[in-house]
Amino acid sequence: MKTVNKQIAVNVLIALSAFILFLLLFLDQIELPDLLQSIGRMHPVLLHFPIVLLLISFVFVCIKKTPGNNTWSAMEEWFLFAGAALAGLTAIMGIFLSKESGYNDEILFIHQWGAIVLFFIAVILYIFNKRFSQKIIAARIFAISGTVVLIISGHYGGELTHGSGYLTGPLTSAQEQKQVAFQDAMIYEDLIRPVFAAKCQGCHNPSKLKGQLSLTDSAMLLKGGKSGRLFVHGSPELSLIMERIHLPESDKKHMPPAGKTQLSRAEEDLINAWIKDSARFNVKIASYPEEDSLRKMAIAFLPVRKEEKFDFAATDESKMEKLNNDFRKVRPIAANSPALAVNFFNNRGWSAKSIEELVGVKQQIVSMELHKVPVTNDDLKHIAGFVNLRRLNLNFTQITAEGLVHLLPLEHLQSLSLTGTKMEMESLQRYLNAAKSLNQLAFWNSGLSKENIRSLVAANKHIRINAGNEEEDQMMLQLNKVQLKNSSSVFSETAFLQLKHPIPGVDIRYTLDGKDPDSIVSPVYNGKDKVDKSVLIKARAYKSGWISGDITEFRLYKSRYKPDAVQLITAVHERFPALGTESFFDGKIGGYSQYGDRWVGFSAFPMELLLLLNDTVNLRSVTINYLSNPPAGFFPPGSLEIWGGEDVQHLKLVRKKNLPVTSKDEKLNISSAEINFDRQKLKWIKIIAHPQTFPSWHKAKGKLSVLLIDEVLLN
Amino acid sequence: MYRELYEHALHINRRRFLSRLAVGVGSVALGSLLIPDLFKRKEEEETMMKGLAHFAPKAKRVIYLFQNGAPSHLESFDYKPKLRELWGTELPASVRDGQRLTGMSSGQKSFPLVGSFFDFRQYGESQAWVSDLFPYMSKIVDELCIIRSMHTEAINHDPALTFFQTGAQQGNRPSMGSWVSYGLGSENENLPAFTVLLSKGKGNGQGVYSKLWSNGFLDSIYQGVQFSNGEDPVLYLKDPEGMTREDRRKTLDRLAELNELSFKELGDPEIHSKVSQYEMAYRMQMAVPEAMDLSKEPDEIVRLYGPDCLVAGTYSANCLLARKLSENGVRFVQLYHQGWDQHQNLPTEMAGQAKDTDQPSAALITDLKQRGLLDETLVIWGGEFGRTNYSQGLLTKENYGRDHHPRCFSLWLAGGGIKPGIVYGETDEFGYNIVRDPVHVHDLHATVLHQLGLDHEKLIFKHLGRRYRLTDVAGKLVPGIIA
Repeated sequence: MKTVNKQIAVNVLIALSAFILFLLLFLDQIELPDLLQSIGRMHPVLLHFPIVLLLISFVFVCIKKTPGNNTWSAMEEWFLFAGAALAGLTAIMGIFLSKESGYNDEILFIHQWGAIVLFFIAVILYIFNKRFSQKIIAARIFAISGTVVLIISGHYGGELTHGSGYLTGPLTSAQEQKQVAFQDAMIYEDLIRPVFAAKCQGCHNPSKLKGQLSLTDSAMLLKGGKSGRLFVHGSPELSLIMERIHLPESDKKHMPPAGKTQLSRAEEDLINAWIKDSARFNVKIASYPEEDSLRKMAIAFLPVRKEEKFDFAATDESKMEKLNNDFRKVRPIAANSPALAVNFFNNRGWSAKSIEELVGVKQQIVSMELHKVPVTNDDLKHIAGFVNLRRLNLNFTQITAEGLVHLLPLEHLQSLSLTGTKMEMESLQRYLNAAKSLNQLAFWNSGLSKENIRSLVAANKHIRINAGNEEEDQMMLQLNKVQLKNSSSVFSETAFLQLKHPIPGVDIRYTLDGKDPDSIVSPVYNGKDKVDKSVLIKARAYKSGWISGDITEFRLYKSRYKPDAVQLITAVHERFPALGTESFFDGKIGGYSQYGDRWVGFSAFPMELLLLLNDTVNLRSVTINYLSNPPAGFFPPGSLEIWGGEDVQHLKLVRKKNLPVTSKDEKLNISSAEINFDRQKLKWIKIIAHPQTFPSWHKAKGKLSVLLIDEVLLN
Repeated sequence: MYRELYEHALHINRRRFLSRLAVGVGSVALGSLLIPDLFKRKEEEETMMKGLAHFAPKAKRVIYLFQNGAPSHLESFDYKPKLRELWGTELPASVRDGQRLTGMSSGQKSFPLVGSFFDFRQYGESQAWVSDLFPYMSKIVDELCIIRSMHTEAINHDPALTFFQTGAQQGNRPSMGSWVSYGLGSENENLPAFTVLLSKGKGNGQGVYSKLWSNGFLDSIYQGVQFSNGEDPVLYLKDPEGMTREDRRKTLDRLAELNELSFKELGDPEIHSKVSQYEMAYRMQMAVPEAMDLSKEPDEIVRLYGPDCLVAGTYSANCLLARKLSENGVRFVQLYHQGWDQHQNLPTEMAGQAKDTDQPSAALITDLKQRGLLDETLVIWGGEFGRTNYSQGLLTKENYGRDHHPRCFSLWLAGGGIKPGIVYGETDEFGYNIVRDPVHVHDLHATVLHQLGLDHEKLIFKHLGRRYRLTDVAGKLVPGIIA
């Protein structure tokens, strides 16, 4: 570098140094113009250049061996100058920026003075470059200490911008949060203080005392700061702290200051509610009433998970696995928990040794499920060795009240289920007196009277006892419907009546004459009753202690002959095809809602069904079953014709019958139309059913209605 | 010449080396940006493989009484006297606030408000309001946590139901029960971990499809097993006629020997898992009929659930079966009761539906309690959305209907570490919008999983290059209902 240039450079650096010193001395007295404030804010942009340049030049200083290599020296000088000059500018901007409030003083102090020291190291190295070339060791010491100062100052600069602990955050944040059980959580210690700690104490702590305020302990909190007391007990709207929080963020007095992490809405509400509740300190959250808004808010802040910590060590996994089989499951209650739960869900895998075998993990077992396993009182002696048991289910086992005494060594047992076992008052009470940790007990259906249960509940208020429905008189219930179990509702000669009711021990009374059954004269169904003609069965269930059931109606149909071949000559209604030809003789009659599934529809064409019987039969009646629902357009047939003969080519009309016109009031109904005639020997039968034309009262009068037909009966 | 070629080769190598290095380093960096835990331990997935809870659970099992078709909240648990006062007046546009309508009532010219046909009363220590339709449930309100501020995203049955069951409206995702059995495994090796029971009321019905209990992309062992109503609850489980249990045992033993031979030859682990599935089916042949046998239930239980509990295929019978399956270690018992879709004739239809379901639902809670099982069994009762506060179709003094309403509805939970005897959340006096403590379907899922010891953000399965959860990318716990 030419001497002139060097001289200029030195002067620049001296000027910068002087300016920096001036600023440091008199900054308190200067009011910064807005422009300089903006320049100050560019500090973070510029600062990376001097860092790099200075580091490079420090490296040059450290690695150069002897003076003389001009190229290296010149580069070193250039880097050093540029680095020092930019460091100076950056420092000036930094000083401007530090005038803005909201920075942590302690960190700022280190950062600022570190940066200034660094600047002067660079200036000295540059100005006395020539002399240092004789004393390389001294130069290197300067360079190395410069590097150290740079790292320290740079780090604290980072802390200023990003908050302290930023660099190591990812490494430390995984640490467990302190967990407090809801019952023990204190309103201030576990709720309010953590909010202050996270959002306020960075500035308001005893060592920094911004605004002469500290929020670290309750005494200081009550004392308040420079502007006075923080709050008025019970009146958040008059409290200074709420005012500061609620000021717009742009306001200088808004807290936390603009740029810092703000309070969340929930946190604001929480502090507000706390002050409203008179800002109390030593109160448990659990002591607030269930509906209290502060309590409700508090619950949202506390960690929801409350886990019991066990003080025993986990067992070896392979040891545990060996105990598992198809009938016994031994598993940790959760990943990373030493506690084990054991389930027996099947008595087939049970043997006398089933419980003894668990002795290797007896420390770890906290829960045992023995539902319906033939456990006896002797087995309870082994169970007593599982000292950490919390929960034991002995429902429907073979233990008795006398055996409970064996369970007394279980000091941690909290929940015991004894439903369906043989209990007896004295032994049970004796056990309950001695079982100190027990807080839940179930023993429904264990042979104790209602009085006994009541006195046990009264004498053991500390235990939640569930022994079944406490109500003295249950509501009388009505029996449900009788069911018809005949596999087919159509029979040929005779059929057993197969009635059934789901409740054991009911009397089913029925009639076959269409009258309603009653509990006096109507016969009781005994399983031996036969029917030999089409019948309407009305049945009803009776049982003492129950309201008798509703009357249920069934029909059984007799059809003596079954055709050997069936042919449907006409086309069915396209929307109601059902099973076509098969529908008419399948032994099943459709229900009310099975329009197109079971009932075959006819409208444009009448039903013409041709039947062939291999052996000539002596027929006297034909019955067709139909579903009608006039409001929906489904009507009974208008007329029926029966044709028959020995030869299909020469069928003769046997009988024709017109049915009455349907009246306006008829509703959904399943009924049958029967045509009787003198007995005739027939081989071929043709049944024609004409759909009814809509009667005059119907809006579609004159048009053809839809006729829905199922089962045809031949007698 | 040789030297030039050699240098040329070197050049290429260096270039290739550098470009590869750049791509390599770049993709590692990009990968770690896209998948932040790429370089972390695989702990979470390993834990899941073991089927262990993430933390100690409150509930071990779930019984979900799904009321399919969406029962009206306005005639069950959400008392709105104002609607009676405003009978027949128009739903204010400010209340509707742009809510979309279904195709069924969007053509309506008027939206007349209608209050409940049934009266409400307060019950229990919690003084919760329950309509007269549910006399049995009203007796156990102190066991229930009634949420009146549920809301969902879908407005029609199928998507809403699918959303409730799988966390997504489109289907193909694993059902809640599948997620739970994937996360926690089976408690009883003799029964499936996830079972499904169906029933149907007389009210207007909506179908349920097997996709609702599908395992989605999870292993098929987590699929829900539908138990049917007939004599064979599990199809094809029975031995054919004439085959004794000893014969079956011998068959399976020989089959296992042959399979072992082929395992030695091929070393395919699937062979072993197949053998173990055969064995499970063999054990189920005994365990299922035992668990499903209702004939030994005492008279007191029959009275508790009502006489229909002995009629296969009724809701009542399914409630009783749910208790029996749950008691035998089935993790997730899913019931669907159809018939709650009261677009018309609400007063009569809903009364019928309530009559079928009220007593058995309440009985299940009482029964679990008297066995000491309610603490560890979480029972959920509710439909897929709510119903409108205005009448769909003709409004008369005796008759009206209600359309679908996703913005608010009621649901209750009991047992399983949920706070008993509370009413959570609130809707406005129109019963149309939530004014306090809304609970989204994802939130309910997150809370149910939490009660089972599962962190909904960690219960994940990687499929098609992304990690899936029951709660998708949403869901937050509802601490206010956790005891």
